[in-house]
Amino acid sequence: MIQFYHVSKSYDGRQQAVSDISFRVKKGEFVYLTGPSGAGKSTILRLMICAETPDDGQILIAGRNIARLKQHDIPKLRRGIGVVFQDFKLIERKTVYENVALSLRILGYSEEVIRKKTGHVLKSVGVYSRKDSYPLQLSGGEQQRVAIARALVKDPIILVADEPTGNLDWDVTQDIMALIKDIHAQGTTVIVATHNREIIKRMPKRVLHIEAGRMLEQG
Amino acid sequence: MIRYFISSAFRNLWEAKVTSLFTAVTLSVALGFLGTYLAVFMNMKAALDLMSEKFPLSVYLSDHVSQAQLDAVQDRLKGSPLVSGVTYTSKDKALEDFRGSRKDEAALIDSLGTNPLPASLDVALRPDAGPEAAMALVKEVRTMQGVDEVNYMQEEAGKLRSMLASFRIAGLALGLAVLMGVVFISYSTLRLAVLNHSEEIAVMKLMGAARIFIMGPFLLEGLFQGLIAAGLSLGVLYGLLHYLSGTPSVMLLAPGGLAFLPVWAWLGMIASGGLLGLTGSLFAFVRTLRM
Ligand SMILES: Nc1ncnc2c1ncn2[C@@H]1O[C@H](COP(=O)(O)OP(=O)(O)OP(=O)(O)O)[C@@H](O)[C@H]1O
Ligand SMILES: [Mg+2]
Repeated sequence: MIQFYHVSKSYDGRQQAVSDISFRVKKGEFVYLTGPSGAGKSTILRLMICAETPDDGQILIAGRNIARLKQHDIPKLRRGIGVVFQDFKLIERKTVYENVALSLRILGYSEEVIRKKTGHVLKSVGVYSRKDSYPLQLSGGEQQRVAIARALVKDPIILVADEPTGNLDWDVTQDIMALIKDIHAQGTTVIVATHNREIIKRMPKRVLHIEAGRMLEQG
Repeated sequence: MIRYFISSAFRNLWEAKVTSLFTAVTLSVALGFLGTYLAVFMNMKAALDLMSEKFPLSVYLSDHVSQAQLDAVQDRLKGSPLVSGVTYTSKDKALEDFRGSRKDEAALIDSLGTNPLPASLDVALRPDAGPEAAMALVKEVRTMQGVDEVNYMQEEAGKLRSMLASFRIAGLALGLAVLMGVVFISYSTLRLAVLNHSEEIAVMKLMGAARIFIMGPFLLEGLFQGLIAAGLSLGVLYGLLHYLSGTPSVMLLAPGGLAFLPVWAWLGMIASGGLLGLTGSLFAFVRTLRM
């Protein structure tokens, strides 16, 4: 599903954020991406969604070389990927409900389906009671759950989650990981970047470990 | 999706109330110029047509005209193939008519002691009489003995008409200026709106939103702004014309009241307001996205 071949990326020509990374994630697989802060985890995830372009190497998503994608193919690719950004990237002007609904609007769902799916996912991440609030009125943990809801609601082919539980206590973390496990069980390919070893211990899956932009182990 | 576009567009307008209002007013002033121009142009044209139709040709005779001179003038007119009829009005008849039509001013005339009104010949022209041939006749009659003045409305109208023609060219320039002005104004506002939402646009792009999905609300916003502005300026114009129709000086010139723009003109103005707003926002979007 996802293949990186000798991918390197440096921001504004400085030291490489990732260098010569190669790995492969099979369809329906669940992998963790670990490594210390600044190792390059977010960079790899951003490369996957074409938010960055590699300096070197090839990236294949769902069998397509993303360097060869046409301008209008990039949105199409992104529509199939649910992303939880490390900094959430919620839209401040929109309510919690509208933020999550946007994910489905982009896919062209009808208003009725949007209402049903959005209500359901907000309940399952436990922020339904805040649906009419604006992101800045929420705690960090609540915002994170909205960001997760937004990625999950569209039943993506690939789920890319960057520190999805970074701001959550252990109880909520377990709930969220259970949801991610559910969506994985439905066939979604999942990549979770985290440095929470506890999660990996409780829910062991393949681990891609990087340090200083290099891949050290492919468990 | 359309519903989402519309509600987003209205929310955007509402979020930037002050800017939106300012833009709508500025746009409507620009469109208002065009509307005013059209209204003036059409009313002038209508007044001219009325004028030249109602009073084709009048020959005013001097007070000392002899019967022979009068006969000569009348013969000349009746002999012209352009003329379909000649009616003679004597000084006394003219005074009588005047008394009949303007009772309140009759006292003024009486106070003069003498009759200031001239005798006249009202000449009806054949409908197919060309203005050039008629003008030649007018010139000739003017030089005849006993003729004080020849009033040929077509002549006055002709001067006004050529004025109207240059007015039309000015209108074209004005129209073009307004066109560009409106596009520029809505471009600037929408650019601001797009920049204001740039973070949100970036997120939507990352979520895979198609270009049209991102643009939709902004395009509609521009469209609405143009429509609102056109509606506003037409409303003000209508009020103005209605008010002016009631003023004495205008009542004299256009007894039927001033005409509001015909349907095609105001529909056209609303449509072009919307279209220009849309164009402005499209430019804004293309410019901003490229950055
Ligand atoms: N937009 C950017 N501009 C310049 N440098 C960047 C940018 N984003 C990341 N970097 C640099 O690239 C390197 C990798 O960053 P990245 O965000 O991928 O790390 P990370 O593994 O996600 O770290 P964390 O666990 O703290 O989120 C870091 O050295 C970082 O300073
Ligand atoms: Mg990171």
